[in-house]
Amino acid sequence: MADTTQANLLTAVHPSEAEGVAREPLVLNQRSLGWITDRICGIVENRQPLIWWILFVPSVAGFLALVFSLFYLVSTGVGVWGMNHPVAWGWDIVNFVFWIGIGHAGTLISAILFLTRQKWRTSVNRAAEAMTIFAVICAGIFPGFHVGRFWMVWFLAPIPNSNGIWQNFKSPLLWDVFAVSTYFTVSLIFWYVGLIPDLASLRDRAKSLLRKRIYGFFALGWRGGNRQWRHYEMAYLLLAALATPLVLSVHTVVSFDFATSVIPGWHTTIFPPYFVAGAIFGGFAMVLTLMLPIRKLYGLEDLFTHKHIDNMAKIILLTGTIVGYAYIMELFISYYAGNAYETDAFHMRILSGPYTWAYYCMFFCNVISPQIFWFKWARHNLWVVFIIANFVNAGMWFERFVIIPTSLARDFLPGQWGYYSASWVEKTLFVGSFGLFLMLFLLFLRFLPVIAISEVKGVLPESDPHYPAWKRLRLGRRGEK
Amino acid sequence: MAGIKNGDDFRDGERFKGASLLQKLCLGLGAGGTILFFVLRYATPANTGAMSYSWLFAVVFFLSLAVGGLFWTMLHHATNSGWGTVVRRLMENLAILIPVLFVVALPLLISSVGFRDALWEWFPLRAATLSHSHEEAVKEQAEYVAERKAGIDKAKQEVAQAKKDLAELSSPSPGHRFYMEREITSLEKKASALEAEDLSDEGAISTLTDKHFLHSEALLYKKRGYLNESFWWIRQLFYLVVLGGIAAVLRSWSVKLDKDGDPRWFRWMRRWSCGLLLPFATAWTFLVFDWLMGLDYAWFSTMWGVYLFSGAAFGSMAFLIILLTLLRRAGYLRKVVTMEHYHIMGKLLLAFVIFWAYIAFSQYFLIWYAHITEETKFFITRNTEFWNTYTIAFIVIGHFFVPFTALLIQGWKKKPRILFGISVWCLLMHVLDVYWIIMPDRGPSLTAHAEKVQMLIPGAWVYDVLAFVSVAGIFGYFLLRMLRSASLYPCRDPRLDESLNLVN
Repeated sequence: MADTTQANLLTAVHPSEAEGVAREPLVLNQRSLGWITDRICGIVENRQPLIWWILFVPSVAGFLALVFSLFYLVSTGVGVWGMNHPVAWGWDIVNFVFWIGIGHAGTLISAILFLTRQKWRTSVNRAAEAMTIFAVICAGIFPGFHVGRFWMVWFLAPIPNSNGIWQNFKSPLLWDVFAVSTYFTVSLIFWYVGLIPDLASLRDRAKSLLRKRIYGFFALGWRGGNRQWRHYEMAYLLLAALATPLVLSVHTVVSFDFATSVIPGWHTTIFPPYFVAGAIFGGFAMVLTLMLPIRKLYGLEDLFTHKHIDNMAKIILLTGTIVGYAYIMELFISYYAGNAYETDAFHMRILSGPYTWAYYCMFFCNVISPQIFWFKWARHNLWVVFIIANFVNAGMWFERFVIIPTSLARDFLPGQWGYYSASWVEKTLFVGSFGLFLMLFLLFLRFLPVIAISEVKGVLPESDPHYPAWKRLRLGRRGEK
Repeated sequence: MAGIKNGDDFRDGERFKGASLLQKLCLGLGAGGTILFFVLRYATPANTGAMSYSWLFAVVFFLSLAVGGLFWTMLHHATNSGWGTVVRRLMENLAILIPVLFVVALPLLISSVGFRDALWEWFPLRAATLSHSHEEAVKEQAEYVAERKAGIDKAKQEVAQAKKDLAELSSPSPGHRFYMEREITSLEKKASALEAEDLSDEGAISTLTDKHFLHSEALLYKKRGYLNESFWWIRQLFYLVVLGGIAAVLRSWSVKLDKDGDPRWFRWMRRWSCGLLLPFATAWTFLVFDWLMGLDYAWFSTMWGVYLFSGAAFGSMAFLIILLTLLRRAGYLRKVVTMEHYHIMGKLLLAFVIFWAYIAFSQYFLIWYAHITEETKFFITRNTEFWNTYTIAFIVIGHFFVPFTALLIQGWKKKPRILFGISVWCLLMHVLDVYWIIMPDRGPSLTAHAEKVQMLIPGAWVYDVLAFVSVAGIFGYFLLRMLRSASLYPCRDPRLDESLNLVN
């Protein structure tokens, strides 16, 4: 009797191992520490696959188109854009907000998910942070040239000068300058600090002297000593804490650019959290857009697993629904407020205005399409995830388009109504910014480790001090083979 | 650390016993206070208005704690969280009080108590405007119908005349004929449109009532699709069913899991917590629109739902820390809850101090900056006289700067004694926040037609205290009952091991 109970106990599934309960591993196939280093460093050390070149060449072409159209813009004047009297903010500001929004996932993943001990972040944070930096670079171009005379853009900075220029500190547009530049600086430092141990790995594996020197220079003499790790981890934690408010602040200030005004459709109190949720939404979609092909291309399926994709799809579902909540609140309050201007602005936005198509594109892409992620099969079908992520990319661009030109195109007096459509210069700039973004990202893939090697190793079960010694032994033997 | 804990040693759970004296005291306070409150209401009918705000304040405060408890429960399941399993039952016990609080809220909702009309002016205003408009409509009806009928006759004559004119023309040019025919069509359309109007007694009266309603209270007329009694009652029922229903279902599954340890319940709780987040958010948003934003039907803010949500989650976490500490002090949960759980709860409290401040500031800032009369109203009241000092002292400094600074210190979040102190402060600030949301409206609303508008009703704070104590008594009584009715932590939860051995 006693024996059978014992046997039952041994074969019985422990409650924490039951279906739907057990935690999934973050690295599959019990990959060893050496395998992880080899696989990730291999991307940088080996020749790039053909597809890399197939993507890189058009990206450079796109970047050149960007440079050309900026040159044309500066040499001719801002008149080459399609902006007109009521619509003074067009694709330039739409693109600015679009790119800044994409830049949000990086800090969210690296800072907030770090503070909340979400270990799955380790496989995506490096690429997301890189994406953030490149997206902010793309974003910075647009307001810089939007000011008209690009060579005077330094007027935005409150630096001592003899021209009697005094910046308007009461304007959210100026706060934007501070918010975005702070964000860029902190993201860059955070990214670089995270890279140091991995740069040292690349240095140690380098076969040519030049390579050793360059990676060695940026690795700042990292030797992986105990003291170095202690200081490093404290620095990383503090940087994460400092970067966390930035996740909120940047897009909050961007939302202030609109919401502090009295333009119906721009002024509403829910804008700050709504913009932040939207930015995270768009950022995660872009991370997925980039990571899904990379995962396949470089054989990273064991490091960037279905679990990661599943989590990110759920975040997209959540933030998409929050954005939907904000859309519905705006509509409801525009009715409930009974304010004729508000009501009209939203009536034109959804029913009678010239841009209703844009509203429905936005609503479908951002609110309806992610709802498919309620289903597990959809989160596990990479094609579905990829397609929805791209719907979201498009939807978030449309969101900014719906907010910016459509509110401006219908001013208070019908005499000041107009219609805006972008000129070829604006379109080239937008396509070109994608070229710049992809070019930078492909170069990042070529020269830097796309996954944070040291951090992924930290979430392996054998990194736990309580990991049983006999399992460690077995793993060691497997490594020898 | 005393080694790894095995969940199997904790499968029997822990029962809450004792505190029966406290429970009786709560019942006494709750029942006695409520009776006294309503005796006073009927003994001094002049104070009905002031007292209605007191009751609303008490109900909303405790309801926000319960709804916050529901939010934390759902969040725990939706994020597949492991840390909070040992404290989840406390959240569930808090959430299950939602139906009780809806019963306590009944005097606010039933118009015959007299609270509803005093709180939400749109009820009496709408009724008065409608009856006035109706009277006017009845008076004007005969004349109006005659006028309309004359109009129809005239339009018909015009059509007949036009047709006759066309027939009489001997040889009209094609252009002329076309013109005449088009004229006839448009006249016919006009006549049939006039004829389509319902000119029966009810029809005419309803048209005229609408016209008068629009002319005398345009804003209320525009909102009539939302602000009307039948839809209002449907919504109240929806709030009860959604919020109370989710709380009841989640707690009952959790208690069933205690008994049989079947992971099926665990999976259901997870699945439904995700799916029900949307109805939960909708119900709470519109509840606070109806109960709090509706205190001034002309005012609006899209952020309102988020603001009240952040306050509820914040206050509820502070309350959970207090409850946990008191239980531990009485000897319960000592083996299962560690400093690590306190640390996480402290961090969540800090997160919601910041989130609340972010939402509160954004709402204030955008309204201040845009400076639109319809919106600034809310903050102007709260920046006047007594309320100005109150806002700066409690809402700005007390609710944000003090807990924010204190909770930044890592060591303090790990010491139950200190975290308890901070949580008491936070809960007090949440009380003051709810007070600040409701009470500044009381003076101006009740004295709107008096000679001088007053910001405060003298002596009304006594009712506030009485209402608060009464609802607190009821709340405490049911909370203790719920604590007693099941194990203090989900003892057969599959995540128990993980939660017991939590390391931050």
